[in-house]
Amino acid sequence: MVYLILIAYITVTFAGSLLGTKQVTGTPEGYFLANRNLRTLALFFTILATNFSAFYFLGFAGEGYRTGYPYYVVMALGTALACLSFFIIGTKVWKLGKENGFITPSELIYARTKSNTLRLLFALIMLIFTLPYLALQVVGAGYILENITGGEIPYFAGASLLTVFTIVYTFLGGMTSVARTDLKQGLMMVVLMLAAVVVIATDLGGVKTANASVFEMAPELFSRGGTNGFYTPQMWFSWLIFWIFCIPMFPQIFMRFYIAKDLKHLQQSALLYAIIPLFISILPVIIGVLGHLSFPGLTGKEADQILPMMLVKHSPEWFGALVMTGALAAFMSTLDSQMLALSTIITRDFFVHFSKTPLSLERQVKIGRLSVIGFALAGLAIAWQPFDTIFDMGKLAFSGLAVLFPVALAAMRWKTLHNGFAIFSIIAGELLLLGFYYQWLPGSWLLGFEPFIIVLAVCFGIVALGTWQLPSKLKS
Amino acid sequence: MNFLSGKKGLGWFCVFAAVFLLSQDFLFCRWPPSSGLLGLPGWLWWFVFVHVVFIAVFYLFTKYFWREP
Repeated sequence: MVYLILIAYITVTFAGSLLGTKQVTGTPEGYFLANRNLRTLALFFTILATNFSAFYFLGFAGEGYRTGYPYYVVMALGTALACLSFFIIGTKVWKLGKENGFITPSELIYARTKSNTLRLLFALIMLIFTLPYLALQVVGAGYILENITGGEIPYFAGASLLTVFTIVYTFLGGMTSVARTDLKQGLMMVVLMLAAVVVIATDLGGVKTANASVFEMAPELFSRGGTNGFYTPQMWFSWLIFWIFCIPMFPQIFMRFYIAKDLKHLQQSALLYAIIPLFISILPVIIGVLGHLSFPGLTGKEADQILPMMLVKHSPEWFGALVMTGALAAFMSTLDSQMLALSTIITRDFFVHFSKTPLSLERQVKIGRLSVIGFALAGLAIAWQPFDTIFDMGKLAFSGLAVLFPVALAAMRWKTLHNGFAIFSIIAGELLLLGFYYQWLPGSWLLGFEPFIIVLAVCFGIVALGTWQLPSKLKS
Repeated sequence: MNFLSGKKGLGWFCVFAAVFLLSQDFLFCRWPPSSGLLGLPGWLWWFVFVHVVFIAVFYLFTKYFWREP
């Protein structure tokens, strides 16, 4: 039954993406940006499915298991606040993209600053820090397939299988296929996750009863600060404000701002993006918290598998397979968008930029398609030895990308920006981040905040100082 | 930042800052661990309220302020 459901899902998705191939126009705008023609629902679901990934299914449940209910607020309200970035960054990206035909984030940065170094640095950071997040989807797929097949498909074989499948439909259909599958995959993941909570909680005597049992057993999961008081005021501030800076800097999200048909559709998508996390973020967190009843004492990577473990224990085999197929849909919808975004960056910001002769549009699409394979293999290589937890893996990727925000904001919304200071802010920010991550720098410098808050404060300071002392006018 | 220029822009910034302050509940209250409606902690419902307020404010912002640059 498990295999039947998996095969059915793969067949349906593949058929859908083949339809997408018919709409690819053979131009970079057609392949990479679906001809900048997405309306509200398609745009919203492609953003949602791109953003709610393995991190949503496995990471939310795992972190809910480890720290408890405060994590719901971090991901619901925190993520919703990021819709402000749709206005701050997204509006300008959409408008300038439409007027000038930009495809990658770095093309826009170059057009505003006329700095080749800044353009390449921006592209390079996006490539480097999206890779761990891309690998996170591959890791998630491996965990899920191993769990639902009872180990018949081992972790790495499962990860490879799903990666190959995602390569095929991204390779063929580009953004049109990706957006088409995202709509279905986004709907599927929400509906199936809701069904999973209902089935698991019912088996445990209902949500209220099950929560009351966990409360007696581990009240710290219900405390305001979470397990071990993790959410101090500084940590709370860090995690609620973080997503505003981080989410628009995911290249796959940044490029989604280009593809809105018009401003109205971008606005409506932003509003939906504020509303939906209120309802869907609680679902995996509930399963994670209730996991203490069935599987107490899990730590690290083990806790990341709490969702499939709960499904196996508390639901019929076919139902578990169905929900896990929803999870696979989430992973693939993020993975395909990431592969496409990275392949676009490598094609436009490196191949086209450094090519001595102009590359034809068809050739750009071909290079983009081939680099999809390259990035998928890089993701698989990282997944061979995954990080301690999905949360850690995501945090590093998210923080590295957020370092770009001050420069992006200044380039988009300020009247002046000094390129040298902008470049220095990115390099200093990434070095500081690595310094804190590898503990080369003392933890006391963080003042109780997450490293990314201190790093972002320094980066904003550098960009602002340069703009104030040595302003150079941005190009319109 | 040019989107904050003008009284309206600053006004909206203040409104969003106020909503964000509501989410920093450590500043103005202490919640004991509890299991209430649906077995979820009582403080969680405060954040559901803050989230709904944010959605309402963002809707008005979209309708009355967010224009093409």
